Amino acid sequence: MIKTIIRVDNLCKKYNDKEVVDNLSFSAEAGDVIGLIGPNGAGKSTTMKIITRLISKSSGDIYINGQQLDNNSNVISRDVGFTSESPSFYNYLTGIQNLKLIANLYPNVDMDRIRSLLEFVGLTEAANKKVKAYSTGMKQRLGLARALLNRPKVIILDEPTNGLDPQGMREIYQLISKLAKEEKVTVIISSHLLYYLEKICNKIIVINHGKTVYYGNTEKIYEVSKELYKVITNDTEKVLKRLFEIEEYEVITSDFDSVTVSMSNSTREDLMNLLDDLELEDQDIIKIDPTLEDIFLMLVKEEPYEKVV
Amino acid sequence: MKKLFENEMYKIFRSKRIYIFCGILAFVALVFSLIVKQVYMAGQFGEDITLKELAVQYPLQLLSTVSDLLLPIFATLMITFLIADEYNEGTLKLSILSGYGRNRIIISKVLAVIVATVIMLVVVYITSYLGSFLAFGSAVIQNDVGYNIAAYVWSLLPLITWIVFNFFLALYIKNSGIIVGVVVGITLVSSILSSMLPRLSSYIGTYYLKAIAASFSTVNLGMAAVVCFMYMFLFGTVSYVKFIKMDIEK
Repeated sequence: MIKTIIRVDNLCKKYNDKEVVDNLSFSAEAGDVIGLIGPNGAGKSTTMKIITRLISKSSGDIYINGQQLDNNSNVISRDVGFTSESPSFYNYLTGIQNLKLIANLYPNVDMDRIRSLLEFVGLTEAANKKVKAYSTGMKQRLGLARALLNRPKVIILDEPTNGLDPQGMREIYQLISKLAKEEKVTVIISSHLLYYLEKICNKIIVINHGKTVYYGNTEKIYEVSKELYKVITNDTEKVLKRLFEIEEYEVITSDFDSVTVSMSNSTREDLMNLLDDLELEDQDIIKIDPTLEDIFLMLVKEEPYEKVV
Repeated sequence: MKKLFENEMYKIFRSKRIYIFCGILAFVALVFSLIVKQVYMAGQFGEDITLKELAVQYPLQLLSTVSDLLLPIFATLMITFLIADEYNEGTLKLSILSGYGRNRIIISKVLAVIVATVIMLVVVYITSYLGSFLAFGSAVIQNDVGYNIAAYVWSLLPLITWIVFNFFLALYIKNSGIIVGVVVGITLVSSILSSMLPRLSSYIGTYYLKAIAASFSTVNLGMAAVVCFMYMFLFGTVSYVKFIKMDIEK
């Protein structure tokens, strides 16, 4: 029988009259990896801090392993591990001292566990250095090790790759994937690196201004997308100006050498004809499979792209 | 809660603050004894007091010197270290994330600062004897040890009240520098008020920081206990409720 490890029902958080989390609901089973994505200020970190009891909720219920968080908060919190986007440590202590201090608060966390976690995150050699000498990436790794000390059933990661180089990012996401697959840890992760989330998450929640814009399996999110085409050109300004004139064409994003367009009723040929008289050099129009980033931009877009540029 | 308390004590000792504070207190104890002796030798005390009397009184004299400024400031610095600094550095949340109730967390922090203050008082007591011995010779061993210890123990009462009050400040102000400024201002203002309004002074909590040490034989200990416990209850309750409900954003 599939057991729900975490369930959030109609979670709300209000600051003065502003709803920063508005009726958020989701659930996850053991081994699920849920990507929580949204623009800055959407309510992602607030949601995570409510689950970890750092801030209070205005209304709603949270269940961890079937137990309601309000009633047995202290016991239940031990099933949840958390690391924030800038993990905090006692800088006057070494890496291993920081872990020992927190391990002391849990039953059954011994030095073997600490050492194995340091090895897991690749910090064995730096363990006896003071944390103030650690790089951002090292602190992220130590934060992950600390979140795993008590063998949590749920681990909540708020931008866990903040400040890491590309190799470091890849390693962290591999570690997360391994945790979910091999140890059946449920992971809730927020990140702006949608490329990685696309690969490791089996569920996605998109929130904007506190409201849930999408919640469901990762495969299904692509169904919300219209057809996407990429116009490759050196003169993106001309293309953008032309596309802004016609409502049918919705500009999703543009780079220095391309413009991504979505359209419901037109074809590639229609688009080519529209841009024909611009006499663009080295122009090409290709149909693309939408990425998670493309869909995310479509879902959270509030104003037409022309106003943004 | 034992483990929480252990962690708080570990942090106090590892950060080396307590060693620095005890070092300063010991230094003051030794240097002050030499200063007192110089003042005596210059005839500033008049003929009413002998060197032997100075020696015997020195432990309490030192306590009254440090009890209304140095000890409270050091206690304040430890509180700001465990609350305000931890909040700003983001480590205050770590105990909460470990699954401990906030009531236990705040009590363990208060207890840790009280224990650290007791340690500092013990250092003051021991070094007062050393200082007296250094400056005045062996006359100090003729003092009433029980009386002195009682004075030192009673002086803990206003210090604990001070500690609880500072927790209250730290939860609302969350900036170490401002808190230290505020408490220095409070001690100054309350000292002035106590002088200007002697009838009201016994109702001012900070009055007893010095009064118990300086006038142990004459101060109304019952009144001191009532006033201190009232302030402890008031600021303790407000601090407790504040911490339980506080959103830890950092």
